[in-house]
Parts: sequence; C-alpha cells; structure tokens
Amino acid sequence: MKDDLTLEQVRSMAAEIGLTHLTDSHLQELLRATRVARARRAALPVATLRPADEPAHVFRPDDGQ
Amino acid sequence: MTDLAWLTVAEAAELLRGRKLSPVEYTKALIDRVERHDGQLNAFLRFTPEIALEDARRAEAEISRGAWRGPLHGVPYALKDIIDYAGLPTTGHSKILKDNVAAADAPVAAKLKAAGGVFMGKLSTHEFAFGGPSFDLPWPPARNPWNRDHFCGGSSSGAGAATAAGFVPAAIGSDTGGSVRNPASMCGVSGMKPTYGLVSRRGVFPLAFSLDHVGPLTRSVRDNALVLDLIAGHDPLDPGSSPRAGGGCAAELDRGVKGLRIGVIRHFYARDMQADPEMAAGIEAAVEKLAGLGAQVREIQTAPLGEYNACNRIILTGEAFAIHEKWLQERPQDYGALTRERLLTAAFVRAADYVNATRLRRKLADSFHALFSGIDVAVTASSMDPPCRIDDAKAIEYTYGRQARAPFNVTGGPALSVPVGFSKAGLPLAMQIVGKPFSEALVYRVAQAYEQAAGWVARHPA
Repeated sequence: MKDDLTLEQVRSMAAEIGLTHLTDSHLQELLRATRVARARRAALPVATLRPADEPAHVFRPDDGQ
Repeated sequence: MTDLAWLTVAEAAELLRGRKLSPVEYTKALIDRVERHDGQLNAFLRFTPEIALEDARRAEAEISRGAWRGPLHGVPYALKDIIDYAGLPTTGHSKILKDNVAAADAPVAAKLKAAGGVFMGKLSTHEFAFGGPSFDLPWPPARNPWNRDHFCGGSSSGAGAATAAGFVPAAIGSDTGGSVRNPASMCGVSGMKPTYGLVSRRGVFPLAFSLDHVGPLTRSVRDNALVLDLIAGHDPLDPGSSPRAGGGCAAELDRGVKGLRIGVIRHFYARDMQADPEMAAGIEAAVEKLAGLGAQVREIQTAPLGEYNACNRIILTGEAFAIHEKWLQERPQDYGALTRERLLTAAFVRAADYVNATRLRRKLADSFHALFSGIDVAVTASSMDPPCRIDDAKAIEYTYGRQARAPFNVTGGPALSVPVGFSKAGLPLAMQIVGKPFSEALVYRVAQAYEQAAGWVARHPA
C-alpha cells in the first residue's frame, strides 16, 4: 500500500469494503487511521517469525468430554 | 462511625454481619452522596437507586435472620455499562446501543447478585470500551474525582471515578488494552486485570475476543481480592473460560513479601518510553519500599514495549473491526469521532498482519512467562503520565498510548494497578504488579504488603 494515499483513493478503497456511507470528515479519519495501522505493522518484528511459529489461539476441537 | 462513603468492602462486611450497620442506612448514605456529587463527575450513566434500595432491604432482612451470604452482602457495587444486567439497557455509552435492553444477567452480574450485593447502577465507559473521553456521545464522559478538570482514564472511566469518589466501594470494569488499570491508575484506586479466562466474559459486550478481561476496581487491595474471589470461576458457555475454579486470593493476602523475588521491568518506563519524572520517582520509591519489606528486587528485561503494544493493537483493532463492520458500513455517523477513527485503523489491515500479530503474541507470552522461573512477580509502570486535562485533546492523544498495560493483555497473566502516591498537583501516581497466569493471590499479596506500608489507601479526594 502506498504511503501517499489521497482522500479519493481512500474513498475508493473504503467503497470496496462496503464503507459507502463515510463522509469526507470520516474519510479523513480513515486516512489518519490507516497511517496509524501501518506504523503498528512496521513495529511488529515479523522477521523473527519462523514458518512453524503458531498463532496464540489455535482451533481445538471439543471431544465432548 | 467512619464516614460510610470510605468504608471498604471488608470493613462494611464486618459491620453489616455484626448488625452494627444497616444495609439500608449504608445504601441511603451512598445514594445521597451520588445525588450530591455525580452531577460534576458523570461516573454513572444510569443510576438505579430504586434497585439499590430493594437490594438493601432484602439484604437487611436476610442478615437479620442470620442468613449472611458473604463479604458483599448488603454492600453497594456498580457495573461498567458494557455488562448485562437483566432488564436494563447495556449501551456501551453509545447511541448505537442506547435501546439495547439486556434479557439476562451476565454471569459476573449474576454472581454479584447471588453474593447479596446492592446494585447502584451502570457506569460510564469510553464508547464500546474503546473511544474516549468523548463529548459527542449521548452521555458526558466521567471526570477525575481528584480534580474534575482532569481525565479519569478509561475505558472503565465511571468505575474508576465511582470508587475513588466514594460512590461505591467496588465496581466491575473490563480490560482489553488496559481499561481497568488505566482508570485505576488515574483515580488512585486498585484495578485488577485477572488472568485471561478467569472471569467469564459472557454478557459483556466484546471489544476484542482474545484480549478481553473482566476485573474489579476497589479502593483497597483486600477488597479487590474479595471481589475477584466472588466473580472468578469457570463458565462453560464462555469459550475462553478457564476450567480452573478461581478464588482463594483473599486468604493469602497477609503473608508479606519477605523473600519474594520481584523483577522490575524498568526499560518499559525508562528506555522504551520515558515516564514523567514524578511517575518514575513514585514507582522507584515503591520498589524501594518493597525491598525494605524484605523482597529480593532485581531488574529484568523483556521485549521492547513497542512490540507488545503493536501486537495488542493489531489484534484488538482487527477483532473489534469485525464486530463493528456492519454498523460502520450502515451508520458510521452514530459513533463518536474518536471511536470511529480508532475502529477504522483495522479497515485495511491484511489477514496476514493479524495472524502474524497472534504468532508474535505466542512468542511474547512464552518468553515473558519464562522469566518467572527466576522471579515471583514483576513490577513496572502503568501510565507514563499523571492524568491530563480532560478538555485537552492534544494531551489526551499524546498520553493515550504512553502506557505499559497492553503487554499483559498480550501475555494474559494477572496485572494489578495500585497507587504509589500523588504528583505535586495532587493527582494519582501508580504502578503495576504483574504475575504469571493464575498467580493472582501472589500479586495481591505483594500489593497488600505495599499498600499497608505506604498508606496511600487512607487518602481520599476532597
């Protein structure tokens, strides 16, 4: 995702996921929020993960006992 | 008799059980206090004096005939307004749920009812336990009883304000990234985020399924342990509920800290983030006090605070967005601006980012819990700053992320915020005491020893 998103690009991306009722003010919020999300993603040390590292919560079928 | 507003649960229980205090008299005194002062604090979103008096009369009749139920019998309490209480709306402090009447009690509410507690009402929260403090919602935000121009923390804002203000001796909040401990820190009370799964989350409006915890806020550590003992326990209908029974925390309280090994996670507040000097000094003085009581104190290292916080926020917002997506699509204007913006952070987060955050969560939790082979509990900062002004949006934004609470939502173990003094401006300072999963009794034991030695618990807002 590009760093220099415009309001129109965000409007289009929002529409693709059904966020069609956002006003321009809401879209400005979404633009700021998206930048925050990118910063958080960048703070995650994903390079330290090995292929077999499992998620914290995994599916456990209930055997009924 | 002591001012009834400042009775602890334990003190009130002794008086009530011995029939030296009437539940009705006690409840009326607290109702009067709420009516006189809550207009300035907004701790209650829905105050229910009629239910309180009915509960108090029932408690009085039962205690009079010798049917004492336990330490909460005849004692007032209140619930954050994301917790279902049958027949009352659970609004989440939001326009979206303002008519959402609960059909049944959440198990946590049912347990407090069964314990004979006196229900005083529903407490203010940040909208959906996420966006606040906000002035664009149907109800105003709660304010800090130590200075009502200041923020009282959140999202369990009303729970912090109500306990600190002497409206109730105990309240129940929820904590997904720090929402019990933040108001506890800012209001000078004790707030416990117990081990994930120890207290049922059923009937509590979710913020993020895998990070949500329910926990008590009280003025004293003993009260906190008493209330947690009442609300803990397995719920077969909560998929995250632990099979452990819970309880027994209050019995361990007075064993002291001599010989206990305490690890100080100093890099959270001295390197990863730099805490306000008064906050840092308060924490260091508390650590010295614990050492003086006979604890073996040493510094420990864990992953950088930023990694924990990013992990928490990606998981939290991803799960929250899934819950709110339909409303964000259909009625985004009905959210407060702060909530909407915080929820929207997950709009374009990739599935791989969410999964990677959960993979890192396992690594962070495993490595953090491994530290407990060499320590019994850890201490660190809660908030990095004393409460800022509630009307200073820039200060709210600046301080919002300056905290060390989210790591323990990630790791899932118990984390308790306790007061460590006051700033020069008279605002509360706090630290966290943290344990490995299901070590609540040990965490409370350390907190109790500190509280008894430090004496902050005797100080109340004017």
